[in-house]
Amino acid sequence: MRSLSKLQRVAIFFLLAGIIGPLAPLTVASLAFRWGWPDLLPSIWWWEKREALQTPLAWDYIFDPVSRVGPALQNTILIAVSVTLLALLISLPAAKVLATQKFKGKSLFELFLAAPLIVPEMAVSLGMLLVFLQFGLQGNLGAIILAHLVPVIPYMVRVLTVIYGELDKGMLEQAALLGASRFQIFRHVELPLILPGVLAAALFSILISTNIFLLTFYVGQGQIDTLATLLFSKIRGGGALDPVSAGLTLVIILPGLLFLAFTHRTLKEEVFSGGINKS
Amino acid sequence: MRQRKTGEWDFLRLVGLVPASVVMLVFFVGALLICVVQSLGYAPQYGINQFPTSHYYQTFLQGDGFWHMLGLTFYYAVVPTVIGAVLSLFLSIAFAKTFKGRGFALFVYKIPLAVPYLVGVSIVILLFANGGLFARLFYALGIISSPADFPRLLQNTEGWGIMMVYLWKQVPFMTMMLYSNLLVLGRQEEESALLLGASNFQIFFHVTLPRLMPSLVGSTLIIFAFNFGSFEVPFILGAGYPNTLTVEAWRLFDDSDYTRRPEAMAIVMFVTLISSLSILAYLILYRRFERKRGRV
Repeated sequence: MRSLSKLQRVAIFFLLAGIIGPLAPLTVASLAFRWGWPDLLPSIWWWEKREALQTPLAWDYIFDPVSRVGPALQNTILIAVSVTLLALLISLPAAKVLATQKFKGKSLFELFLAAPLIVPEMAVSLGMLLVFLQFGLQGNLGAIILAHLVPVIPYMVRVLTVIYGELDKGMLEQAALLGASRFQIFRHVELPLILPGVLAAALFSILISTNIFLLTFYVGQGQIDTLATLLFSKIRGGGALDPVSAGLTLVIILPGLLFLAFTHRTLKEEVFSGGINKS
Repeated sequence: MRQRKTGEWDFLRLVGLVPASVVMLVFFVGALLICVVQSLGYAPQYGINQFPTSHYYQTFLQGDGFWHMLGLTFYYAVVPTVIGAVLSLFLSIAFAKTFKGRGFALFVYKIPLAVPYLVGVSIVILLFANGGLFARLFYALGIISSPADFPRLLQNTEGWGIMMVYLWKQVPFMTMMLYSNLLVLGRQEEESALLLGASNFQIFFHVTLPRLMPSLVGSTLIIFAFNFGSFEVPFILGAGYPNTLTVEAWRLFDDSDYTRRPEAMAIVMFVTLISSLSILAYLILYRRFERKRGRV
């Protein structure tokens, strides 16, 4: 009874095939030099033309400074890490209050924090661009970092509130009774207890930040490239996928795959489902 | 005296909320307020100062393509949400069973969740464009003789490409929401129903589905809201014009004539409003439904 019916087997097969399947043609496309209609495989491969031409092709182009993929990758990582650290500093105290205190208007506050889930990214992006224009900060890396806080903080507060809710307060009280200072309690009791949750929240925040496109695009005003904005400018025309776009797509999948490999065994499905919806 | 003291204490114990509130107020509420103010005609940087005026709302509400664009926005948002919900219900129940390769399946199905929508767009272009891989496969099999014979799936109003990307990203998401809910709920009620002689069909409709309803409503709501305001997928894979309201807002904001920007703001505020109202209506309907069944 608990085994799969035939239909369920077929459905799972199609789901998995639809997810992994496209990676093969993407890889092939990234290695092609000429792949014209109606060939099922490229007629000329990248490595056959590699020496003959002066200009870098496909993967050579991606790794070449001309393509700006290097700086874009750097920016993506720098933004994601800074957003995560800042968001942790801001979200930890808020989560602690939400998990331990009862107050008037608490559910209203929680609703307020959930609002970015419902408001279209376009509205937030356009408004945010104008906010930064007022301060002359458009096209600034710091502005992008601040902008990314809006989608990240609501999620982080939610995850950390759950973590703080499960925290055994008795342990903290015991440490206090034994004469530990507030810093000692935080450093030696509270932090180790919440660390796994904090790590999970941090990984999610990195993932959310690396996947944001529209907000970066508007606030960055074309002056700051990230992997997502580069891929957008490559494929925005919607024409056939050239080798560079295919390669860039593969590069952009990597952080997500790494994230899954890190968290697959450790992260409960529930935590995961709470966090991923905006990316 | 005592009253005041508890008041102070009250503030101190809530002080942890201040940083998060400040950031959200400045960058989220502030951003939305600027959108509202500009949409009402206050944009001195473009030489517009007619505050308050409903001119920009009227311009686009009475414009040619408005109803068409609103219809498309709803269509691209609702159809994949419904199809995705059905598929995800089916898949989540399958995932809760034991089968060979389950660990592998539980890893792979999360991949779309961890990559940007643009990856889905790339894949759909590669596979389903008129000169794409499926067209070539059909050619090799002798079904079609030129790219033009392949049905046009991308950059058209029907939006097959758009919906494929949405489903590729969102079926895994909804499956995960439902599956994790199934894990939390356990199987006791299903097993009692089975012992009492219920058929699989009856168990699904009378036990499993009602219990999954809250998370089904929650996940479809998030998906609908996202699709309704989504930009890059319809921008690349939709028709040039008419497209969704969000794409229209992009077009107007991108216009070399800056005085069209307030109209773009009016559109995004309108999208925000309609999306929120739809969600509210959905929640009210759902509460009614639950009350009818005597659950709330």
